[in-house]
Amino acid sequence: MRIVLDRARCTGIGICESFAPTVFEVDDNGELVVLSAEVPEGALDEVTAAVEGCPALALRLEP
Amino acid sequence: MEPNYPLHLPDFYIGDPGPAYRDLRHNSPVHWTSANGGFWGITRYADVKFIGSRPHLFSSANGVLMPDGKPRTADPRPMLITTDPPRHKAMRTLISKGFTPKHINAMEPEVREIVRGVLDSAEPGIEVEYAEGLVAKVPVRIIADLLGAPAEDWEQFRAWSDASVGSADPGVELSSQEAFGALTTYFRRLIALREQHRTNDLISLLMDAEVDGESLSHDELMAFLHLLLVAGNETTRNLIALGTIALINHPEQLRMLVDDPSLIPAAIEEMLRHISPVTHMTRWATEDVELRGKTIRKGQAVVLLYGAANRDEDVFGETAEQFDITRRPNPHLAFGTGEHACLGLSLARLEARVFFEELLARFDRIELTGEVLRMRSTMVPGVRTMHVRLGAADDRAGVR
Ligand code: HEM
Ligand code: SF4
Repeated sequence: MRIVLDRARCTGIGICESFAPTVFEVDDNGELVVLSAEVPEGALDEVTAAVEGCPALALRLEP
Repeated sequence: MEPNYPLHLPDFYIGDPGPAYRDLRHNSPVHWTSANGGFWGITRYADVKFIGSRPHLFSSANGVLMPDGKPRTADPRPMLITTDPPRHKAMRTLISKGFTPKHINAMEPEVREIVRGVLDSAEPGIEVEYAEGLVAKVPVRIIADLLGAPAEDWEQFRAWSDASVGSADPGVELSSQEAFGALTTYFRRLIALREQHRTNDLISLLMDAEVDGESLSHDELMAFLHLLLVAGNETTRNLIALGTIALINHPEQLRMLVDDPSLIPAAIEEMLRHISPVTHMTRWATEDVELRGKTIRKGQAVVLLYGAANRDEDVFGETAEQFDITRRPNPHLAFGTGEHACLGLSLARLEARVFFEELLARFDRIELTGEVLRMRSTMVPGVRTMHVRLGAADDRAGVR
């Protein structure tokens, strides 16, 4: 599964990072960095929680 | 016949709105109320999400408070919460630098120290006033600390802040305009100090932050500091106070938390869902929109009832009405949805988690000793005062 970020919607507050810190990180400029374009082995649950938890609907999973 | 409920009155929210919400979700999910100039009440989860994520169709510019019958126009100098896209995105990106998980998590030691200081004043077995006397002190101190206000100013800061949002004790001789003025002067002083000497606090960060070469204007910064007080104080206080009442009413769940504090974060999510400390936010249609067979006309107000959406059986199943700290998943909308979703949610979660961790480590019995006095508000109908007696884990054994 691929992680797709819609940067135009993202406000960088990092709810995703609180669910899946190994995959999402907000840098010091407030920009979200997706650390892995593919969902890493065994991280699907936390990435799904991050995608669903994003209040700005900026994250999507694609096959 | 269409159901009829006084959605414009505080008493509706202070009582138990659960049955009315259920009726509305099933029988009139897009519900017209003619009071206060008229507004639509939205009660289904999917509809609240739909509207909240379409700011072009449903604007915040006329204000997020429910209509009061007076004509509304857009604020010429909007705060973050009443700003529409595209300006909202730029402002929010700038401000959110101070609210990233990294920033907020780094505050945990300070939050814990503040919570401990407050709880130290509670003695086991002796009646205390809990909402105003204990809980309310935490969020104000944290915001004061976040802004870099020195500790000796905290009590003064709290008096101004309470009076400016109209929640002060009626016995206090300070009008909300006076308090607002005093706070503005105080903020100006904090900003002037940072102009000479930047520190690592939120104000310094906001003064330096830039998005696309733009930084916040002085007025925007002031408006944001006022918004923080309004948005961050009573909301958190009421989550903790009403959450405590939920635990008192479910002693078996209180016991579970005392025995296993690792359940506290999930319990807080359930408190958020079940209580929905912010009952609603309002949007304004920018064109005619059809929804579930009703036509929302351009210019009409749409009130998103988070408390109703958070008990939607379509999402939370048969047990939606029940308080259950083990509920999972729990995709509640207590912090709103879409791009205005709560900026302070990580901080609110941190404050509530640390508060309950420290509280339950000291006291394993909480008992109401009198009536709970509520605040007469439609948006944040929280707890004004509640008297409790706290029992210490080991006082029976005589260890303390
Ligand atoms: C339990 C506590 C809290 C609850 C239930 C809550 C709820 C909400 C809700 C529902 C919104 C959505 C507004 C909208 O859609 O129009 C919101 C926005 C906001 N909240 Fe909170 N809040 C809480 C605590 C806090 C705290 C602690 C802070 C700051 C320190 C804060 C700052 C804000 C700000 C600045 C906004 C506006 C964001 C924007 O318009 O982009 N909140 N909050
Ligand atoms: S939660 Fe959503 S809006 Fe927030 S940083 Fe992550 S992707 Fe961006």
